[in-house]
Amino acid sequence: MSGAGTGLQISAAGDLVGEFGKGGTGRLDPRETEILFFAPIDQTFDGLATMAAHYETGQLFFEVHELTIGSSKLIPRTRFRLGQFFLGVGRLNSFHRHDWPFTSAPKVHRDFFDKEGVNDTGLEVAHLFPFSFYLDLTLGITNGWKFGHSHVEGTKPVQPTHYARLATYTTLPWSGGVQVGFNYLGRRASNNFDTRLFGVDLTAKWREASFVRFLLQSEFWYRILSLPGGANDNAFGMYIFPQYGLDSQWSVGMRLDAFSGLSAASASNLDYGLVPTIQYKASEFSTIRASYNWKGRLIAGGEQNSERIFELQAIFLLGSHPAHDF
Amino acid sequence: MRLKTVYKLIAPLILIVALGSCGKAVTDPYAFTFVSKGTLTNVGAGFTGTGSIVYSAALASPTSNNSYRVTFKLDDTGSITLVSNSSNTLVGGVSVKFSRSGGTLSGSLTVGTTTNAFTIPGTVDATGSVTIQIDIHNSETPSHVLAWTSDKTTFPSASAFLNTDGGAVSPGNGTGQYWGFILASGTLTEVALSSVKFSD
Repeated sequence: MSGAGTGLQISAAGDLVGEFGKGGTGRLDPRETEILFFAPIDQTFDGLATMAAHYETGQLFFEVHELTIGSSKLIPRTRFRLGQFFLGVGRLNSFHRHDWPFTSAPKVHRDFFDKEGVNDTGLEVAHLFPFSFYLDLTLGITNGWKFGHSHVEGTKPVQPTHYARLATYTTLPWSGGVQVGFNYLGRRASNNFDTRLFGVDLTAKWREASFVRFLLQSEFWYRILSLPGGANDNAFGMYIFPQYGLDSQWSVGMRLDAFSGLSAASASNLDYGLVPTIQYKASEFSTIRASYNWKGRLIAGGEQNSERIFELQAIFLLGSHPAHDF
Repeated sequence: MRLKTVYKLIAPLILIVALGSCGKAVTDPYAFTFVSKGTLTNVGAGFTGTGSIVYSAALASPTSNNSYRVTFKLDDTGSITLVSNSSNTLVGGVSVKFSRSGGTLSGSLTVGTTTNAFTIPGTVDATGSVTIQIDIHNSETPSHVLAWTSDKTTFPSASAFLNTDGGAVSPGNGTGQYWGFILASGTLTEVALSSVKFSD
């Protein structure tokens, strides 16, 4: 859909998720619905407005998801956006949840970012270097009053949220390509909890004809979280998700998650997740996905917090949805 | 793609599901040590008297979020304090305290030297056995604390008698990875640790 002569594009997305089994909600719910407006504002600037409703404790809360004004025309090879947006750090955090290749967030993403991602208000600038190879640097600074999904204003941090991502891309044999990003994020909250995140995201794709024959997506993150009084909550987590396209419509994958706190009390524990997934995409506008989220914590002598959740998901897009670069 | 092919692909996934239904032994999450034994004695799954205990199994992390279902009975002028996200000597945590004075039960939240009071519904019988469900979200700044009476089977924030997002002010965050109780002239009958009941 578009406004005639204005370039306005409107699209909507629906995300339905059911969780059944030990640790699941036991029901099918509309997890999220999103309405997106984007258009050139004038000859210089572009605008984006996204409203999303999330299902929370029996109700759908409508809120502004993203609201940005930006441009790629002011400074050569440079684009910026000002407003509220998902921070351009990592892989999952840069994508709306309905665009993820799996249903629920890996533990490292839930713990270091949020169930969906970190969304804040500020300025982000990205520059593509004039090199013979692809090298793109993103820098951002945001208010940092809160970190993750929240319905409260938060409190003014000692140091606002700031981040950087250096990404490179190269082609691979057999019609493949890989993008690697090196990430940093820092913030000191009002309670003097000081967070530093360091991560690497890697996404590789091999195409065959019109579809992705093989996808490999992974992220590795290390967190330094310094608490007042000298304690820390350092941790390491990762996920790796290989997915094989059987044809243009069916694909299967298996995600492996691993997470471990590095404090003295947590170092011998390991949070794990194994998530086999099968997916059907009739087109780029619809996805039906089933997965089995097998997760828990291995501790000395046994296991804690085991969950065995069968996830069923249906995603649909209405209208023209912006494509991601890779 | 033919259905036969789909079935061949689903079969390994079903096998994984079947294997996944086998669980490992779960260690006791309520093993404890005395921080201050005082006059505490074990009574079934709980304790009675005056003293303090810390549970040996650490929480997931100092910034973890947890829920506690606590059942207790206090003598007149007695009190019970749930301490969460603290050191293994119950220092530096988020303390949720219930105190009895005659027929009245009062509450307070403490982190460090900051204490904020909160109101407990009059329907809670201070003279009898009391069960409270308490969420402590220590990953938020400051910690987000909610509490519900025992008659609740679902836990939206609107039905909590204590919610530091919009009600009593949270005094801050715990900085440790342990939890336990400080008991003064009362009985801790039962406690259950779980993932949070309220989730944004």
